Amino acid sequence: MSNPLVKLEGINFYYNRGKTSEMHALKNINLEIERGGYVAFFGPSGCGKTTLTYLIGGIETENADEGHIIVNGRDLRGLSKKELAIYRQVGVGIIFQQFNLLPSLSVIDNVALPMAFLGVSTERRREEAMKLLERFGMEQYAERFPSELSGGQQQRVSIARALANNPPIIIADEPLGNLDSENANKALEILKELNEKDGRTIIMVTHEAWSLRDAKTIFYLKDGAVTKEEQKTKHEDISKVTTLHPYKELHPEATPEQLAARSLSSMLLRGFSGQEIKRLELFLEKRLSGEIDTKTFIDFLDSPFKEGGAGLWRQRAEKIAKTIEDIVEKRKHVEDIYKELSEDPETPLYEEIVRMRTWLLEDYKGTLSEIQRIRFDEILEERLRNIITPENFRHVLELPRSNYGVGLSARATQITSERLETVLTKKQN
Amino acid sequence: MNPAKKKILLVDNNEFTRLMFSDIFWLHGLDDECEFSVATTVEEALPIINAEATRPDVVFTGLVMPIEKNGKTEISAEAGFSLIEKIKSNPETKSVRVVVFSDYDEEGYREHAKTLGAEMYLKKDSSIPQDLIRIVHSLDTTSAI
Repeated sequence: MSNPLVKLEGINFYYNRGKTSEMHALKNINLEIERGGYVAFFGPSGCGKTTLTYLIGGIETENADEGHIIVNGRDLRGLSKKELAIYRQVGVGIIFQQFNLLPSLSVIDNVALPMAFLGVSTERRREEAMKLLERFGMEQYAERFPSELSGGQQQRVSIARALANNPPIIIADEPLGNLDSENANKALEILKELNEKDGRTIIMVTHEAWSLRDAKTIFYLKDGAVTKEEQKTKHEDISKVTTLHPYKELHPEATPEQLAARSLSSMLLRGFSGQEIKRLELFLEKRLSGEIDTKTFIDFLDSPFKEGGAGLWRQRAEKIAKTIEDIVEKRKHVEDIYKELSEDPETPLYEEIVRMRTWLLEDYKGTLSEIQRIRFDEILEERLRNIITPENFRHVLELPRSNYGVGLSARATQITSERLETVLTKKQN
Repeated sequence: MNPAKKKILLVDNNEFTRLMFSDIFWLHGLDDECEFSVATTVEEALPIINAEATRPDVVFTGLVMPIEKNGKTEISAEAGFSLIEKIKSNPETKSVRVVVFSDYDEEGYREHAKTLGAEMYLKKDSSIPQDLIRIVHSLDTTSAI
């Protein structure tokens, strides 16, 4: 590459260097990204891919131990704190998995915020923020608060915010993790448009193979090192690139069952934590290789997380079990299941909670404040994941707000918790 | 210096403005088509403008900056105005194009800058990076902006 936009040379990065807990997070990274490129850092969680993008994004730059982070010919490690602060505002826009919108600001003010850092007047920044919201069809939500939007809508707001100061580099850190299939597809389309139409350089971090479909270059990362760089040819079969192949690249020693477990687990548990996905992966592999039977597998899915299970609520556990039995019993191809899931994956937990909350509070006459809603969502998530018991759930619902509860009346608590338990145990009313 | 590149000089005593300007040039690859330099005061800018080898095609200047008056340093819009006047009254430099880039938009400032020969008046807090990129791209060193 004659004049790359980003060039990393001999990057080494340690956490807690010199202490007993020292971790060598990035090992001698050398790579180049061309201006207008669309690259993906692909690897399992903990492989160093997010740290790598944070170095390019100017966030962890000052903490790099060795090497050069060269952006358009200048080494970021030679910049002063002030220069780096401005670079973070005008050079890169970051899209986060958890959206990272400020809950106390309206949608339009969230989008306008990066412009405030540059000293742009309120009037001008709201004008520009509105244009960005219009671009993504979000203008009607301008005066709402993030908590009033769905995951897909929040992600579009966070994309608009990333574009606020017109940065040439967009970093998308697991941008699809919390989205359902429709919104994930939409987000991928937007990233493609930002690359092809705007000419921006896209750097995506992902552990999910199906999100690699539009990337032109894939860097495989494992244990802090780049193990391979792959350029995609124009007419390559997308299903081949996004199913088992990337996992095989990262883990050439893995058995077919291990690869299948790896590729399916994150599709089946969209929005869950890495720890839960990893645990599902282990049990999936055992089930696919016949080491455990159906019953043991369902027991695992159904048992509380604290007791070593996946902690899923009944309906989701049954659906997952059925999908896996289709592979084991009916010899369905993993590729076909993967394709089905990429078109219609399991709803991410986040969306499930929002939908469930709306349904549970359908008949509730009062309104929840933002704090109450956040608390409600927290315990609902814990209950759905079988981390807390129905009694715990009821207790926190009724506990006053001053004691970190939701603060519902005794009657509202009873109605809400009964409604939830009916669904969780699948008993009919 | 590469004679084919447009030469742009920013005169501003505010470090943040200078850094933001140069970062935009750097990150958007504008330095492929422009040579960008900065001066923090009028005194520092004048030798750059007067010397043929370094003379910019376009000067972006602040207005309210330090200026020497009767042996004392004052902060005043006279600084920016005097710079425009000096550029435009010198036959050798009068073809240098001037864009005001200022925090201030007091009554009469725009008109005065225009009378002295400035072509454009940008208020800092009404300008976003896209505006600066657009203006720099549209700069043709032989015609009006």
